[in-house]
Amino acid sequence: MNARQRARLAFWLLAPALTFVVVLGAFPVLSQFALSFTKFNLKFADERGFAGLSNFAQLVSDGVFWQDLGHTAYFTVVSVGLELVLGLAAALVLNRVLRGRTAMNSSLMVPWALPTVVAATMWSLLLNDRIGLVNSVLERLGLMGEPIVWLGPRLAMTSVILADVWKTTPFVAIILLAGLKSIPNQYYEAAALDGAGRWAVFRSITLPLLKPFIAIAVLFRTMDAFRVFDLIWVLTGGASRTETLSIYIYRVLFRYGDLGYGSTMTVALFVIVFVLSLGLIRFMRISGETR
Amino acid sequence: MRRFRGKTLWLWVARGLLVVACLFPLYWILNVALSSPNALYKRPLDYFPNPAVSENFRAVFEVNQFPRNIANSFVVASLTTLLTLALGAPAAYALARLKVKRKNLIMALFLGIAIFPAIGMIGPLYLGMARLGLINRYPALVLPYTLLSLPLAVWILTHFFSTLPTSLEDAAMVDGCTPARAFFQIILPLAAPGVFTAAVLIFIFAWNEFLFALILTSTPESRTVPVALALFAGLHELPWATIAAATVVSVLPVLALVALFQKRIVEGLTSGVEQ
Amino acid sequence: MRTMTAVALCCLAAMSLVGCSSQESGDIQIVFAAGNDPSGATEALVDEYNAAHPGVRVEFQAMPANTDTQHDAYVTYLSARESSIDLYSLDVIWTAEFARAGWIVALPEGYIRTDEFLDGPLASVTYKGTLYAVPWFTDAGVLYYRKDLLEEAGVPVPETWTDFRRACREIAEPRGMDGFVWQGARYEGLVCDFLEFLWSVGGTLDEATVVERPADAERGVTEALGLMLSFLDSGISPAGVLTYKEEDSRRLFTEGRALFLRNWPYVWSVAEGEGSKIKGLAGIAPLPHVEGQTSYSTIGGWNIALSTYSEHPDEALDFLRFITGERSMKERAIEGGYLPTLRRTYEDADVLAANPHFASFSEVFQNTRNRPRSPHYPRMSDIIQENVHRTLTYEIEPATAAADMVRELAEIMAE
Repeated sequence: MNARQRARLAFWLLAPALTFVVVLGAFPVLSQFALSFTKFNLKFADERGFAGLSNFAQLVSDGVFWQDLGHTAYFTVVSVGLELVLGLAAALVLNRVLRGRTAMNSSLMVPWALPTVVAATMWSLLLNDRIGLVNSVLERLGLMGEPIVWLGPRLAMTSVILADVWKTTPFVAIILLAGLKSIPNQYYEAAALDGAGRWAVFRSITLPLLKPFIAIAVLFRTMDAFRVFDLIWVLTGGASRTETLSIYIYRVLFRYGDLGYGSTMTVALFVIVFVLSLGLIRFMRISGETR
Repeated sequence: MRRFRGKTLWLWVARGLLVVACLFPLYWILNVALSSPNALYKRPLDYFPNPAVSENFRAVFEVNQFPRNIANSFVVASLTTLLTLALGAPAAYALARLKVKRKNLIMALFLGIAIFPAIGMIGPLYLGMARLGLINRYPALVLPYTLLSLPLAVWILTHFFSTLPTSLEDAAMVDGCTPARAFFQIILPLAAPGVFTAAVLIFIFAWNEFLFALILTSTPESRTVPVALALFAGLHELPWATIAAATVVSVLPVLALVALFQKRIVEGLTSGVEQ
Repeated sequence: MRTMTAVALCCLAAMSLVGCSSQESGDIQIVFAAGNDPSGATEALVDEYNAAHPGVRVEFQAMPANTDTQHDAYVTYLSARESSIDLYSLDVIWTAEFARAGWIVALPEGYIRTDEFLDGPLASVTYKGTLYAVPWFTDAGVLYYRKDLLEEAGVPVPETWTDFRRACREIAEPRGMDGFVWQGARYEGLVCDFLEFLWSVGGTLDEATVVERPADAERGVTEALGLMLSFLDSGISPAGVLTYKEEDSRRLFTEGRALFLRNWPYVWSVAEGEGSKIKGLAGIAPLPHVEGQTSYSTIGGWNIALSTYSEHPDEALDFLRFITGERSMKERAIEGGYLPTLRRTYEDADVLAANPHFASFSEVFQNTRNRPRSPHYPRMSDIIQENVHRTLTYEIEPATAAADMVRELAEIMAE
């Protein structure tokens, strides 16, 4: 196959997916950008008009936006960090399972396969200070004096992060497990012949070859964590410094009907996460190159 | 020998912890689903249903069209998975294997779609789907879900395809294989674990999505599982035992399906290639 | 690659074929969207109406009963000018918002006889002096108490907060029970609870007071926040109450672990139902107040309005009259326990036979009030929620919270 044939083939392979994304995605995405330059409230049709950059000016001086950005960043860094460590550990353990592998892999899927709303409701019942299972177990073990208010002012963010880690670690583990499986056995065999220790094998073979998959898992988890909504909405409603940007955007878009300012925040969130992702990609030095 | 035993012990502990952490809530939900609605707050708590009752499961099938909702979720999630892979796999293959101009731009475009908050897209997408008369039909959900899951599929598959040795396809093409045959007979089976991983993640995402499903369907016959679960609740009341039973009914088939699929198809494909 | 394209095309073809289509017929179709009714009474009424009205077919579009969920869906439909839904059930706090947006139409002059309805629900369907919806069912905050424990201690049902606190100390504390549980999580329910505390100390967040006499409004808010803090500080209410919604607080009460509960009327049938540990032991009373004041209950409940984009307004209005009529209200009260908005249904023998507790609610319903009625209500609600919750978690002082709250509310009211 010569270069032109290859280019043509590449074009036809990419065309369906790109067409799909542009046709379906262009309107929803571009309309947000357009709306961010307008004063546009669903409820006040007579007060609509072009607003220039005033929405962006409002954003810069909006304390709630920056405060929620801080909560979101904290949530993202801590939860994705924990998920990466635990997900990697789970993947390494599962990769060494021979018998009962299917059953183990399926059980790993359980938290991920529970609908978020069910999982969140479940955690709010388990974490109830008076009749929740967590506190009653702690009490029986004699580890607790006063009932712990897990979703109260001091622990709310921690509890929310733990619930998220529980729910989405499988996502990371599944991707990393697939990555581990893609490492050819020859590498390990060669290393074994050289008499390399396990830590050395992990550092010089497993980790470098796994890097692109770690990057994908971290990339997509970061994007999802930055947009976290359902879980926090059900567990705390954004109280006790757990309000994330998505919750604020939700309030402005759906509750206040303020499409102008809501879209401005959406665009801002988009820019922040996009820049963050590009930084992450550069840092991890991945963009799909053949190695 | 001693060292070997220590190593195995460590692995068994890790495995045990993993399974307990993952399965504990399912056990708990099953326990709730099989107990009478108020047993949940009994102290000391019963660790097993005492006595086991089936009333919650009966309630699931009595009131709503729950079997139909499960079927809908199944169709929507399957079609989403198929369509996403059908669109995403060729694109990923091109990005991984062929020289594509502005490759980084294309990857970034997919990423951009994935970053955009779904909350802001729901209004415009509703308008579009309503204009096309697709509300209450499967495409109303399958098309947005595909849009949302395509980026992940493209990114995962691109990396999988690029980890495979190029020598295999080159050899095949020297033998007179068309690129299409090389893709289907050599690349795809080798990348089976990657395709499977992407498929599972997409399937479960589509199975669990709530907001689009709520707004883009309106009749009881067209609802999917997450919306049907929300319909069990009253204005203030939360019949948790019934919801737990419904969750069990809807989650178990998914897990069984994933397990079956992995055992029969993925391992079959992969081992076929290795031989 | 052609195979992949073929798979994709097959997917699309399959989707367009197997999608569920609605029945096509010559009938005029009216769609009524409302929160799901697990009792099935609403569906039965719709079927009954359809049977009696050939040529018209009403579809009941059941939505998740959760307020936020319905709000999101309806806002999306109405801003897309969706014409397929004719009638919407609206939470009492949405009337002004939907009317101001032009999404619902004013009802024809004389469409309902206003004197037949309870005052509170009737006020909730009024925006700028015009009726925009028909009250469908109502709700009001009440105080549940443990009849058995009060009697045993020889303590009458407390009418003032002083007596209330004493009862908690004397009866709940020695038993290791919680004294008083309510809804303190940051959500709409907190606004309902807070306003009741505010009214019980003689405060108000009326537009007139907030705009013209902000100092008075602030004083009331500060006092109400102090009252709520006193429950937490003295241990009468558990610290966890700040994470509770209706069901969390209800469970503690029906498990026999709390002496008093502020909640909606639905709790009564749960408390008297199977599995409750306090069957026959609960009583209902109006909330306490400070000496010299009166207590008021916050009004909840739902109304039904006609969409601006309905293509069959006449037929829709005919069905609206039926579903908010006396027969329908009786049926829903008997089958589903929904509280009617028509006065005379509370004297109906069948209704009272099925819901003996309705009689005890009549005292509570004497004194009810609405939350602020404004198209800006969602923003006002968030301001109240945030300031109250942050005070209760000791992030800010009551006086600061009160000043912020009143100032921000005044700014919105002035808009």
